[in-house]
Amino acid sequence: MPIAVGDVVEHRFVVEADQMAAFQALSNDYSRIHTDDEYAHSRGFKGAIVYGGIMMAHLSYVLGSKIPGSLGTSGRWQVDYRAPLYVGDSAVLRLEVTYVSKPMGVIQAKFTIRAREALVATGTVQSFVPETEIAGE
Amino acid sequence: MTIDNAVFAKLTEIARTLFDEYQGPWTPALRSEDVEQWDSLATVQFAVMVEQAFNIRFSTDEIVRLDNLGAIASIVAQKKA
Repeated sequence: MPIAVGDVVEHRFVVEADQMAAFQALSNDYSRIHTDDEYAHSRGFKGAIVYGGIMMAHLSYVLGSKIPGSLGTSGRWQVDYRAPLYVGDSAVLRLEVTYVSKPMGVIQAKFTIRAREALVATGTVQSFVPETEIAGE
Repeated sequence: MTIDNAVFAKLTEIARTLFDEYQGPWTPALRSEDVEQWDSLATVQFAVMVEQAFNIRFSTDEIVRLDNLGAIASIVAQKKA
């Protein structure tokens, strides 16, 4: 079905310790806030917090498989992190299409990531899509 | 070409955020080839930002003419008139 303003998709995920380890190995980011519970406590968190990059990997999954799907190309991502996500939290990423342009082959969407009834992250994305994939305006 | 100053000021504000590496003068004569960051992809991003800022929609014919600030300002002013 062609993409239209108001289209929504939700994706549930849980980040586990093995995924944290895999991301550490991939990124070489060994920041203590992500790897050291004691240090995280000293900074006011309940424990080591999930890498933002892992959350963005889940955003990538949504973009590549749901909206806009396998034919899209990301042009812009903007993200604000609002609260920590902890290992084992059940999170929901919700993405809603806010703008489409069929002549330009562009869609924009806003997204939120929520966990523990808290807003963890918000942001916007822009993707380039074949115009045949976009609903008429 | 007559330029609406208010439209041009708002356009320039948008362009400054998108082409943040550009250090030269912001004039209606500024063309895409004058700005390293202003490639075809950026033209589309710029057009989207302009559409949203001015609450207008560009046609396919207009999109291909969005390659300099003066032309964009002129098209926007016509649409807002």
